[in-house]
Amino acid sequence: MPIYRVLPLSFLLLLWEIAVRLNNKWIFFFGMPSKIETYFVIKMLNGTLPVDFAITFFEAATGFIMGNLFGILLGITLWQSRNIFLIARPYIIALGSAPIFALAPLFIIWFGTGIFSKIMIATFSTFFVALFQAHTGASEVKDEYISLMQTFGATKNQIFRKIIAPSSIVWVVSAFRMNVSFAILGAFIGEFISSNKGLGHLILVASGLFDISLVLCGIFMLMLMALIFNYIISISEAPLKKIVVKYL
Amino acid sequence: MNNCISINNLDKVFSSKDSGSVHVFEDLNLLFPMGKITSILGPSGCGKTTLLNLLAGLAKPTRGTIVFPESCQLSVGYMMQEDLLLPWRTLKENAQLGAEVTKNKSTLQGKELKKNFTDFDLAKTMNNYPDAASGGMKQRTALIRTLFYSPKILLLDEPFSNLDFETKLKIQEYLLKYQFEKKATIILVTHDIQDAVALSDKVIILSKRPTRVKKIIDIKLSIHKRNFATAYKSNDFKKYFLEIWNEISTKL
Repeated sequence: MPIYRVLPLSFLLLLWEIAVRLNNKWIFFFGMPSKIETYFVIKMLNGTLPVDFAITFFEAATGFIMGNLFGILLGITLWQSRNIFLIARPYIIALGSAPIFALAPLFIIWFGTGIFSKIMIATFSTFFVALFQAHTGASEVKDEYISLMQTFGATKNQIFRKIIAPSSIVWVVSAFRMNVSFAILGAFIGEFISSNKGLGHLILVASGLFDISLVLCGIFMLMLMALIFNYIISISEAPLKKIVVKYL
Repeated sequence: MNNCISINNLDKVFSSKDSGSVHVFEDLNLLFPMGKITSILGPSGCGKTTLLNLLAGLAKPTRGTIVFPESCQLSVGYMMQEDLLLPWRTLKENAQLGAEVTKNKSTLQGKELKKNFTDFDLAKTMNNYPDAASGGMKQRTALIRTLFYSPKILLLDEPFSNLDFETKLKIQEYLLKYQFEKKATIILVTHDIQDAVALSDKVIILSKRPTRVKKIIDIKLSIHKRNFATAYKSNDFKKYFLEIWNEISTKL
């Protein structure tokens, strides 16, 4: 089956290559697959592309982990008290829907132009999705399950471990999936605004030079990164559920 | 009186925004003798489940009191109408839930649990997940879960509704054995007059809302109750059946 998955891509690349070769002017607008490949090989060999990729990956991954961790923790804390959640909700919605592109310059000012500010932007971008998913997951639990636990005389802690955590894990994993693109976007925007390394920097410089093939090379690397993230999540989903169900 | 769960002047009001408040009970007074099986019959909506919820402590009465005898440890097992099995646990793991919570180590042993599943004809399916089990299997698992942490007071809300006749007889026999061995108190809500007569020492018939006690019938089946076949065939069984039948159908 994997062989058939490659077919549409190969066909598209071939068509693209032929079209640009027939119309030389188009290379300015669309780049050319063979040129993207040349950039890829050169930059891999001279080591700049792996470094850019690794930096962006590190920023996105660290932000992803921190954003999800803190988001889930706060989401569950807010689930404990309905009143506090109702007070906090408008603030969370306001902060969570503020465009990250507008906030990013502030993060650069607060946390500097290095890697740390990008990590913080990625953390901020993923935090709210994780918070809402964890909170919704915990709130969606059937009241009857909680009643059942109460008839056993279960403590709030036991109810959380045996009912809330296992039933909201599905929501949390779907937060992970959504947050892949938010984490990469956060890291990218940070680099795009101010940096001297990373894929965001590469794309910014290349687009300034109107080098479309290099821009596309960077974009493909970002797509690759998203695929890697998704793959890691999909293989860790089952063990994670198992841990929560069996050992909590 | 000390050997009864007594319900005194009970009143429960449900208030909702659109339909105003609903009085479920009107000054309800009831006694449930300890160590006996009491069945509650009544038209739907008369508050049978609400009564069990109040007894289980899941809801608070609006007025009146529910008094448990001091001697009894407050271990109440409540099997609700819905099976409420957790979809991420196998039937076996679901059955362990109550014992896990109460940390009743002695009952946590796998052997005893396996025996329970065998008694309930579920040995082959105990490692399946609930979505692969029939309604009857789930109901039996819910009953195992309730019995498995050895409560002294059992509240059962229509526990046999999804079972075929043969399985039902088996489970009822098991339940009687459990009650006899543990000297447990069972309060059973049912729609089935036969079940009520076959199992109980006392049948309470409730009226429509606002609910009050319509009639209390003491069941004294002369034949030994632990033998169902003879109990069902006896003349007394028919007598009790008709008595309850008349009481319920006059209201229809």
